Amino acid sequence: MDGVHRLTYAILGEPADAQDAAQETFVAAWRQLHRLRDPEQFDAWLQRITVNSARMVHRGRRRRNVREITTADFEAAAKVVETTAEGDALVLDRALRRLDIDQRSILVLHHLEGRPLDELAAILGVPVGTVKSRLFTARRALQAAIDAETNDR
Amino acid sequence: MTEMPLEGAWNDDRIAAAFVARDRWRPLASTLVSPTFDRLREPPMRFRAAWLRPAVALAATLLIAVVAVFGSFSYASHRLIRPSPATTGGPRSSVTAAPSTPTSMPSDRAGTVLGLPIISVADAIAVRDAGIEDRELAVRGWYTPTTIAIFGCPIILHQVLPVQLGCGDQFVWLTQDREAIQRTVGGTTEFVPPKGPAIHPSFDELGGMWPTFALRLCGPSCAPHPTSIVAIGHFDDRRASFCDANVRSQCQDRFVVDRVDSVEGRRLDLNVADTRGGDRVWTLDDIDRLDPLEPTDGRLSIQVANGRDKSLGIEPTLASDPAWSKRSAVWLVRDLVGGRLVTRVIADGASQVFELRSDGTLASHIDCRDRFCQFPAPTASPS
Repeated sequence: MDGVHRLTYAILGEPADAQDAAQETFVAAWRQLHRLRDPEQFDAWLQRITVNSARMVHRGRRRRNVREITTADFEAAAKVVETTAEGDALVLDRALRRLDIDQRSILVLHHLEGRPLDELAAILGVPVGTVKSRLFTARRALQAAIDAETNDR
Repeated sequence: MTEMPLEGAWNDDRIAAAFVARDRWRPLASTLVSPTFDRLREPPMRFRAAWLRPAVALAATLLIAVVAVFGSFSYASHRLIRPSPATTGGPRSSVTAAPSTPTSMPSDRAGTVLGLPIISVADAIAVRDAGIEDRELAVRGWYTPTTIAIFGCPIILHQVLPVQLGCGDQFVWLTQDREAIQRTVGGTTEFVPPKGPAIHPSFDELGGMWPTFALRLCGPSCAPHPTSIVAIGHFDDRRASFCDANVRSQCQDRFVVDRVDSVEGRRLDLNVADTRGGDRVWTLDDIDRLDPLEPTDGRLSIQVANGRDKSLGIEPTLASDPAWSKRSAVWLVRDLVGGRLVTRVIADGASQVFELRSDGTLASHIDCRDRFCQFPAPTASPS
């Protein structure tokens, strides 16, 4: 359960959205469990559902044009950052908000979850070549967003 | 006081470390378990819809029967549907059937197109009702080309193309089973709602010529009989958000066809629609030679249209951008990328490309005047 929540939070960056997406994931996984034919692929299958749930929640949130501001936002913004790695995390958090949901997903799966290209292809349901292309594009977009964030500071 | 980030390049290790550090901000999901179990105890939406829909269908049928009885007395002289001056009749219903019946398509005809598995209408409805995907689906079903003009339905002044059902669209179906939804008895043409799973397709993206095209393909004997087609398209089109609230869910449920791959098992060439004609700089061959901005799984359609009018309805997100909305000719190139639709809007002869993601956001705008791009030299002069 924690792994799914970690993934949805990493993609969405909003605690409330992350919880919603995690719930959606568990409900969808429970109801679609009979479709899982290869138990060895459970992790990839669950992560695929997780990414889809995150996308759905993100889209629903955008449609409603509402962003819930939680105390965690203020805490993160006002946090006394003790290490340089946390400074990086703050920049990364802001930079990710500049990217679209698909770019965030592939970066999270690759950099946080450590998924190699072939597993990314299985999770995202696209050919490896497409994964390479998307990852390259997302990585470039992230770098541009980081540059923009660090220049703003 | 916030410490500055590390100096130096953001390599993979640094990004991974930042992700891990960021994950420490994540609040504990202590409230996750209980609501999840509560949700699991509820009947799923799809199941609820499955038993609600027949009830809605029954109510609609009763209502229609009442209307039909009254109509036979009160509106005998009116012609709602007129294939010819001598015909009469009226529309019956447009209720979507639940995906409950098994497919009638032979299993040996299953396959893939552009890497997409070809699925049945019932499966497409299941994907739609899951509410998860807006990705492209290749759907095999039965389509009845309509040859008659339909009158008597309300005119929608601000119809959102291609998603909003317009006058007569409620009689256009892609059905799972080979069902006759249009029949002529004694000179009267009438429409009957499908009994099995069915969806409303929109062929607007193909330039509006598709019904005529389908008829030409299968000849005079084809219409109005059901014709087997494989259509590539998607639900939950982004433009549904432009629909009024009372029809928005109907707009989201519209199956927007981006390409018809085959008719009666016969593969078709690329869908090309020229709603502009006449003066433009580039040709289809020029567009084909354009380097895609990212690798594609296949091309779905090409359309050339007038940026000032028709195209504004097609890509409303760019309507306010004079770089293309004032162009008299723009190319709309739709490609399949990673299972999703990517639309490229190319101002004819202007070396500018707008790339839209499936959610309608602008992925990139490349102005090739300032950089090297693999654009072809013009092969024709504007007249």
